[in-house]
Amino acid sequence: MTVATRPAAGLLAALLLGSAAAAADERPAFTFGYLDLADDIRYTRWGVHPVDIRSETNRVDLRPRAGAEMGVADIRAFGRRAGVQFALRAERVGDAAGLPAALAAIRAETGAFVFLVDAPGAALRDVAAATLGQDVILINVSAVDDRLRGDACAAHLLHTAPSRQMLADAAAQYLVARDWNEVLVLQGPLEEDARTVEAFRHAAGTYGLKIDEERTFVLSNDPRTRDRNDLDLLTGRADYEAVFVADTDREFARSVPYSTQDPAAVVGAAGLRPTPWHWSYLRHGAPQVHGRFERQTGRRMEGTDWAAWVAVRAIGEAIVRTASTAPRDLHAYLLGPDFRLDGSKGPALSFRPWNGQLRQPVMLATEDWVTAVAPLAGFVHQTNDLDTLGRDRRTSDCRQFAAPEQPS
Amino acid sequence: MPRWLWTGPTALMAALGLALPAHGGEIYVSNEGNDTVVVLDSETLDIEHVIETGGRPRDLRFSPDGSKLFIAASEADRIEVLDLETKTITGHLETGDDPEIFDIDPTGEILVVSNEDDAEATVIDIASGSIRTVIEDVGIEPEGVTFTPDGKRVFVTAEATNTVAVIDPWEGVIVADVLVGNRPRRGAFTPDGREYWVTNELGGTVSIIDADTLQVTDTIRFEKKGLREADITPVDLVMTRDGTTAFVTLGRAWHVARVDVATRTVEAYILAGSRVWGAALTADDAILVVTNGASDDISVIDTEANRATRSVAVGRTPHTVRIRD
Repeated sequence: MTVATRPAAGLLAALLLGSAAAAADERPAFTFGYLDLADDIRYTRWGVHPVDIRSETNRVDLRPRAGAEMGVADIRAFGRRAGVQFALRAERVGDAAGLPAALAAIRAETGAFVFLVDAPGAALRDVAAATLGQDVILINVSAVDDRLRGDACAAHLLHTAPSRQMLADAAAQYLVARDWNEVLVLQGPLEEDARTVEAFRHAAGTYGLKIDEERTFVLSNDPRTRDRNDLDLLTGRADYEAVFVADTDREFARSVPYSTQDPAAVVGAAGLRPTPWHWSYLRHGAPQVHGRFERQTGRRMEGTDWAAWVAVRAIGEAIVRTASTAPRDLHAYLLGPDFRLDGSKGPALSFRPWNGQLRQPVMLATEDWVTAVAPLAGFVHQTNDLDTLGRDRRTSDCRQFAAPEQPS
Repeated sequence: MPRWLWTGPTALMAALGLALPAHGGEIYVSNEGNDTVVVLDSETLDIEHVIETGGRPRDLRFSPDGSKLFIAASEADRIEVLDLETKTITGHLETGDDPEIFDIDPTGEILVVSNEDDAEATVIDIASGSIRTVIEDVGIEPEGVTFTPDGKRVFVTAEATNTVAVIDPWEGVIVADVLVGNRPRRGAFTPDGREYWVTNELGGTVSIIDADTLQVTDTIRFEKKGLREADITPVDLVMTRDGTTAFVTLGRAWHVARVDVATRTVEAYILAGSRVWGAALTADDAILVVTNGASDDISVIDTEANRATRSVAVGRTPHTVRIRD
């Protein structure tokens, strides 16, 4: 079966259901491709609480495929209108090198050209390179790497996951709003932790936070590395009101709150965490969204679930508004000025036309409460306050998008 | 598009601070934050009664015969029936999960309610209290429910699908669905039944649907110097009895827009409270009352002067207002 690429006639008109219902079974499928990796370090036991690791009853599949599935269910009514039936074709690939081949196979089999990809940044870069110029739309639902939105961007790669810089800016805005301006940074051993600190350093520069000191920690009981594994030593002899923890797997981070030498707020990988979504959020229709998710999936809705859900919603919205299922029409509309999406986080969401990043609020959440949502009051931007989070048009290194005229 | 056209033949009246006309009616307000419906005297604006309801009372409607008030108690999964004479709750209707907004047909025979969490609308026989039909798949997060003035059809908005489902409640079927702006909330018909006006909270607009052809014929945008586009979040909409004027509550923008129905132009922006949502007019259209969900009060607006004359604290998170006069 192939994807309908003709504009569906009369789409914006009211659709009389009498005739459409009869044709329901004959509607062509519009298939979303979905790719993830069997061996993805982000979903292994790293960061899982030790009790949960041992518990056979408490192992939860946190992969965001569930979010994509809910998205497809949510846009069913759009399919009725667009004359297609939405479907999801998911494939779990053994290792990252196999992603392009898996994508090509799903494409050949179903005609899918929209692919949600849940993979680390390097793998995504390879998929994007392999599909260049093929009328494919890739949507990154989990990778936070800034380079994917910067010098390694690709015009057919969109991002519903926020970037590392957006998350760091959200944390920095909160500290500034609270007047907790002096920060101690604790950095983990991974390359990703270094990138996170880099983003936070940039955010601190933007918003005027003072980083008193940056220290690296190791997850170890070795007495010879005591200066780097002992929180008393790591948080001693420094001036700070807040501690920013860069710890990708969050295993060390969970020990930091309430264990600092000076009383201090902990932000980043523990304490108050910047995230695209948190189940405790109560406003803007969010309870309906995570209520649906929990009933369908039996677990809390995570940030990556939201990103996958909203990716499907974005395509559904573009299909009904353009009355088209042609890749180029959808891509142009998604990046154009008329696209608006309700992500149940308050403001209307849209894609940044200079790098394909979805503009969105970032929640700052504890274990069970959303304390604040960035952009915080008072952080204003000349065109869209959401652009106070992440690299703005002027500072973006991405050059792959057919850029509309730049404001001077 | 729309401009501030209202130049104010009544500005003098406003300047003179003329008192509200005497009414002697009652204003009913649901407080979803503390599970009460309060009744205010429309003349003195004193709270005369505080009625305890089931959890999270939201929409309110009078029975067509004027003897009862129906109260959607969302967390109690039912619609409670208040006797207007005794001000006591005398019974309830089972509605299915999480009833939010509902409407009653002009003959008072049936009631249609949206079930936000289940993408459903439920049709209830009022006399027997039994559920006639559950209409599935009306769109994700259904909200606004409005009968056509002739009672034949019901228009139901779906916030997450950006559609208005047109339902035949007597047959229990969806007749059509109409694509409108982003996050449609509530609407009203022109008194002649020819047009359905629906607010789009996230789009910041009102879509006008021709009730015969079911096409969107016009879109009204709101803009006012000093208001940010993202804060213009229209929610409720009421029309005057003669169908010449619509009032649209603008949510986070703290204002109510006054729209000339014939020309589709915004005539005035009237300052109200924080997160202004619900709206109701007195029978003579002289007074508009709006609920301010985030400042826990109502604003009482003189529609001649286009200005709020009083605000009254009513309870936590006031949701809906209805006026009996």
